[in-house]
Amino acid sequence: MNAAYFVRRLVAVLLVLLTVSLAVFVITMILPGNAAVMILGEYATEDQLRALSEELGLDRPWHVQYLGWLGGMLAGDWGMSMRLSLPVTTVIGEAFWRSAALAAGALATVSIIAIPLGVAAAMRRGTGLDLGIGLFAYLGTAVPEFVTATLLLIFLAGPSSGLFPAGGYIPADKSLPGFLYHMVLPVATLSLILTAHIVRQVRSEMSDVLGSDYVRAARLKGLSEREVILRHALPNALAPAVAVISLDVGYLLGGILVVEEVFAWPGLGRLIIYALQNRDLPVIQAATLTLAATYALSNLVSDIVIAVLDPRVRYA
Amino acid sequence: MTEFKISRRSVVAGLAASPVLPELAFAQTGTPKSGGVLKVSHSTSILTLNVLQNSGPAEYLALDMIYSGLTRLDRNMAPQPELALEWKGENSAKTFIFKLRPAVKFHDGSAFTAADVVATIKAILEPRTASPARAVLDMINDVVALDPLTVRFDLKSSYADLPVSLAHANARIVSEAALKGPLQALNAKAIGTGPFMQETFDSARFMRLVKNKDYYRPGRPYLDAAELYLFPDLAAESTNFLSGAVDVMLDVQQADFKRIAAAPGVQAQRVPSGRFVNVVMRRDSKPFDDARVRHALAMAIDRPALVDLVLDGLGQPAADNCISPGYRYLVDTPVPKYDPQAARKLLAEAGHTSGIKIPLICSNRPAIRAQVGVAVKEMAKTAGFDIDVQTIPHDTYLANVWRKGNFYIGYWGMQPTEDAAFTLLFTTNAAFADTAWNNKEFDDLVAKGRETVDDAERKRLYAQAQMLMVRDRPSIIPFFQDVLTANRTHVKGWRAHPLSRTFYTEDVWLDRA
Repeated sequence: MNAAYFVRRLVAVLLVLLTVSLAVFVITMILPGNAAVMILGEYATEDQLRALSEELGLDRPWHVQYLGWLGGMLAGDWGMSMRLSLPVTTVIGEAFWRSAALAAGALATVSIIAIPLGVAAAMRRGTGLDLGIGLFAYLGTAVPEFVTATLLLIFLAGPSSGLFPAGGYIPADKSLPGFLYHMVLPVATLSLILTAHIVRQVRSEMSDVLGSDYVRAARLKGLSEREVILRHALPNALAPAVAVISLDVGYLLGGILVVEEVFAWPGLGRLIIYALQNRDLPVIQAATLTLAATYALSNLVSDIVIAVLDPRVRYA
Repeated sequence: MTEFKISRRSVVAGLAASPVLPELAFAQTGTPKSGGVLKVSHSTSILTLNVLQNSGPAEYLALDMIYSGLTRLDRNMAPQPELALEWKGENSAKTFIFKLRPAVKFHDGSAFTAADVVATIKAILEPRTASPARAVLDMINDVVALDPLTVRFDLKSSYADLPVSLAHANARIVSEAALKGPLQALNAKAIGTGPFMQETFDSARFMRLVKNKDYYRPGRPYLDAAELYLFPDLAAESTNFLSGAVDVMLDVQQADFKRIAAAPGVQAQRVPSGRFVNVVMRRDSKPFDDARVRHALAMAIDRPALVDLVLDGLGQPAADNCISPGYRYLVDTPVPKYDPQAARKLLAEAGHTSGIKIPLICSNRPAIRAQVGVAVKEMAKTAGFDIDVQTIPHDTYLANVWRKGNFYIGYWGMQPTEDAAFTLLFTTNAAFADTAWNNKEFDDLVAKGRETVDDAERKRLYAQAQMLMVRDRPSIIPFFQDVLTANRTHVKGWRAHPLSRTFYTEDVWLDRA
C-alpha cells in the first residue's frame, strides 16, 4: 500500500475530529438556561451559583472559549471535571480503559463464536442448524441491549440463581478473578448482539463465496473440504466481515452506554451519562471527542486492513 | 414492614439542653455486638467529600459518618448535644454560649477545640465558600472562642432556633488546619471527628469507611467498617439487595417498596416526613390572581386517592400547609374535602362558567412530578378544569419554567424548623419564592416567631401563620411523602430519619448467627 493513501485517510480523520470538536462545543454552548443553574440544580443557593459562574468564566465570547479549550486539548490540558474535582484526563483515561476492556472482551468473544457459526450456517444452508442460527441472529439483532441486559440480570444474577454479581467493578490489579467475574454479564450482553450481526454477515459472504467459480475449481482439483473452506473460501469471506466489525465498533460505543449503566461498570459510557446529567461540560466535551476519535481511528485501521487484503481498494 | 410514628415533641427542651443521649429508648432485640462490615447500596453518586458544600443523598450518609456537628437532630427534630455538650441562650436569644466536649480528636489525631468551631463557622459565613448552611446561619454576626472549650455566638437579631440550625448537614465541624489550606482539598479528603474514618474513596463506584477507635461515644461504633456501593441502575440495586449482596438499601423507590417489603429476610422501613410535591399557582398571574380559582382547584383534588395512586399509600394527605406532623408546631389544618361540584360552582362564581383550560408543566425528574400532574388533571376534570399536562426534560424545566411559569409542579424536602419551611418558598423574601403571595402579615408572623423565645408564644405565632397559609393557599400541597429505606434483618439499629441528613450509624450493629 502506498503512503499517499494513508495520508489522505489520516487528514480526513483529523478533519472529522475538528468538526466534531466544534459541533460538541457549540452544542454545549447553546444548551438552554444558565449553566450554573443546570449544574447545581434547583436547590442550590445564590452563593453556590455565583461561585460556579465565576469558576466557569462563561462571560468570555464563545470563540475565545473554544480556541482556549482546543489549545488546551492539543496541549494535553483537558481541564478539570466540574463535579468530580479531578483532571478530565484522569477521569477519561481511567474510564476509557475500563470500557476498552469490555469492548475487547466482546470482540474476542464474538470472533471466537460468530465466525465458526457463520461458516457452519453457510455450509449447512437450508438445514435445521442454519434455521436455528438464523433465528438466533434475528433475535439478537431485534432485542435491544437494555432488554438483554435486564433479562440476563434477572436470570443469572437474581436472588434465585445468583451465579454472577448483578453489577459493580473490581479493579484487575486488586483481584483478577473478581475483575473477570464482574465482566461476564456485560460482555455477554454486548456479545449477543454483535454475534448476531457478524453471524449473518459471515453466512451471507460465505454463501456467495461457496457458490463462486474458484471454490468449484478448488473442489474439482480434488482438495479436501477442510482445505477448500479454510484456505480458499474463508479468507475471501472475511474481508467484508472486518468492515462490519469496524462499523460495529460504533455500535459497541453506543451499546456500552446502556450496558455500563445497567451493570454499574464505571467506564466511558457511564461517565458520559453522568456528565450529561450533571452538566459537567469539560467531561461531556472531552468524552464525546474521545468516542469520536475512537470511532474514526477504528475506521482508519479497518480501511488499512481492507486495503491490505484487497488491492482494488488502495487504488480506488 | 416496620412503621415508625413520629410524635410531635410536647415540650421543647428550651435553650438549656439536658445532656441526655438521643434515642436510647428505641427498642432493639438482643445485645449489640461489635464487629463486622456493613454494606450499603445507593443510587446517586458521592461526588464530593466537602462537608461544607455537599448536597447528594449518599453524600449526606458518608459525611454524617465522618463528621460531627455541634448539635444533631433527633428524630423529633430536637437538637441533641454532639460536639457541644450544652448551650445557653442569653440576651433574649441574641447571644449563645456553647460548651464543647473535651478530649475529642480529629481522625488525624489533632485535638478538637473552639478554634475549629470558629474557623468552620467563619468559613460557612464567607459567601465564596458557597455553603448551603450560610442561609440558615446568616444571623450570626460574630463567633468568638472564649477558651479552648467555650464558644460565644453573637447574633444580629434574636434567633431561638440557633441550636437547630447548627445541626445543619453542611455545618459539621472541620479542623482549623484543614480550612487554612485550599478549600478544594476538602473535596477528596475528609478528616472529621465522627464514628468512621475515610479509607477508600472512588466517586464513580465505591467508598469504604473504617471504625474511629477514638470516637467520643464510648463503645461506639459497633461496626468495624462500612462500604458504600453505587448502583446507578435501580433494577440492579434492588436485585443486589434482594440477593443479600448488600445489607442496607439507602433509598427505596416508591414503586419497589411493597415488593421489597414482602421479600424474606428484609425489613423495609417507612418514616413519615415533611417532603412534598406542590402545585405552584402564581398569584400575580391569571387565573390564579382570583382566590376562588385556587380554592376551587384545592377542592378538585382527591388527596387520599392521590396518596394511594401516586405514593402507593406511602404518605399522608396534606392541607396546603407546608408544616407536616413531624415539625414541632403543627396546628391542625383540615384537609380540604374532594368536592368537584362545589369547585365547579366556585369557578363559575369567579366568572369561569365554562371552566378553565390551562397547561400544567411538569419536569420529567423525578417521575413523581408528572404522576401528580396526570392525577390532578383527571381529578379536576369534573370540576371544570381542563388541564393539559406537559412533561418536559428537567434542564428545559429549570431554564424556562421553574420560578418563571405560573402553573407547574415543584418538589421539596422537609426542613428542620418551621422558620426554614416558611422562608424556603412562602415569605416575600423566601430563598426560592415562587408563589408571589407577598403577604405582609405572614412575613411579620414568621419574623416574630424567629425571635420569640417563649415556647407558647411561638406556637401561637406559627399557628397564625399556618392558618393564613391555608386561608390564602399560595400553592397546593396535596400530600407529604414518606422516607423509605430497607435493611436485611440481621442489621440492627438502622433507622431512617425524616430529614435523611443524619443516620446514627454508630448505633448500627450486625446480628449474624
